[in-house]
Amino acid sequence: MEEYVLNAQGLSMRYHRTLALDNLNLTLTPGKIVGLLGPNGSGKTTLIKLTAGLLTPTSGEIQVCGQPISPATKALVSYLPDKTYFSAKQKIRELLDTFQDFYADFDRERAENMLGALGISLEARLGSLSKGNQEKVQLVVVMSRRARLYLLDEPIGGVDPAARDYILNTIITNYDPTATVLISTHLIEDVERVLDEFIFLNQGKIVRQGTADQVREETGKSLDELFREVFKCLPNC
Amino acid sequence: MFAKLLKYEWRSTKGFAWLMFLISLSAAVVGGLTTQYLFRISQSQDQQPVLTVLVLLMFMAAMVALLICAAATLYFTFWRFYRSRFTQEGYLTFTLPVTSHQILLSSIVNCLLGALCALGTLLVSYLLMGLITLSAMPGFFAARWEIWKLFSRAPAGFSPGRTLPCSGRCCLSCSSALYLKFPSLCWPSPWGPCWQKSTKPFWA
Repeated sequence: MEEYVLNAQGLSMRYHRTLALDNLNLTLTPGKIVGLLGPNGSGKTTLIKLTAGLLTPTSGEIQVCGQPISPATKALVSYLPDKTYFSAKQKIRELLDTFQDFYADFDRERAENMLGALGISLEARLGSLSKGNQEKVQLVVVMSRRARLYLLDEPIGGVDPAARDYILNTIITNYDPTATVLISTHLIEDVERVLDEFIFLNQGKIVRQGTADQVREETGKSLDELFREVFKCLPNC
Repeated sequence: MFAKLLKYEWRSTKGFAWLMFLISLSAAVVGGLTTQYLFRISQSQDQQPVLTVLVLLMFMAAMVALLICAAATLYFTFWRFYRSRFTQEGYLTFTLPVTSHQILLSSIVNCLLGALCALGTLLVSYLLMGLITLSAMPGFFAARWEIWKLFSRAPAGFSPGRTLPCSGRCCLSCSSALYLKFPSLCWPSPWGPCWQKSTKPFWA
């Protein structure tokens, strides 16, 4: 249905003997920031890669804005992987040129302004920047697109707390209000304040789903506390 | 979109390609100058064996450099194919709004262009080397007008019936000029034509 930004039905993904996603049913509506939360190996990155068109599901179907995964949906989706996917030898200007060439919704002026505010020269090579700055550059480029669905895989992993705050503020202030942002992370305490909805994923299945406000009203707990309770390690872990 | 993919691939490889081209031209110039020297020394009475061996080593190094540049260009083209698909950069490649067929075709075209560039660079280098070497031979200046007439006439009225006699006449005049002046170049010798003038090699 076109009203859903993301619609996954009976979605399963198997890597040889490992079942990463198990008959998953998920729908996302426009205009929300959704946290895809779960422990390591729960299937978060697999779901994101399936939506981005990097993987083909073993069974089931997945649609973005009512269309099956294709170049047309890739033009609607802005994907940020957990590691940088640009060449370290490229200049920042060349990255912007690449995005401007391939994506009609790329706002170059915004990207240049944000990079200027960070003090990053367009003539600098990506490899000459610190890890935190590389993450910021990649985030700026991805969030400068006017996409319908943003897929952010571990955007705040491996950076200092100040950089995390910057990244989260960038996400909130720069995404289109009619678009949906799906953030995959296990640093829930940091990301909780920006989330509208959450999905708890474990062993390829949705364990719990809802709004962050609902959790606080019903249980009086934060998402981080609820996560620790739901995914508490058993003694034999 | 396909043109943009090719542009993206070219942008990723142009720096290395230009570097290899410049190194090849430099090696060709060195090769040409060394053969020019070897040719002149073969005509001279003053044999300088140590310097001649050094120059010969430089010539061999230039030849090896040419072959390495061609091989490196080819290798880099295929390495770029691997890197843009099977490493972290593949995340960018396969999330671009293009079909998988366009991605594969752009890679194939880029690899072919890389191979052609390597071959073209090699040919240009050898041609440059040949021209530098030939410029030391007096017969070359006599034949250069024939060569110029051949190339200036060919685009206007190219046809096998007209071009073949012209090219044949040019080859005949070049070879006859070279043969009459330097018979040693045309006679086979176990030491190569350059050594024909001297009675024996320097180490004997």
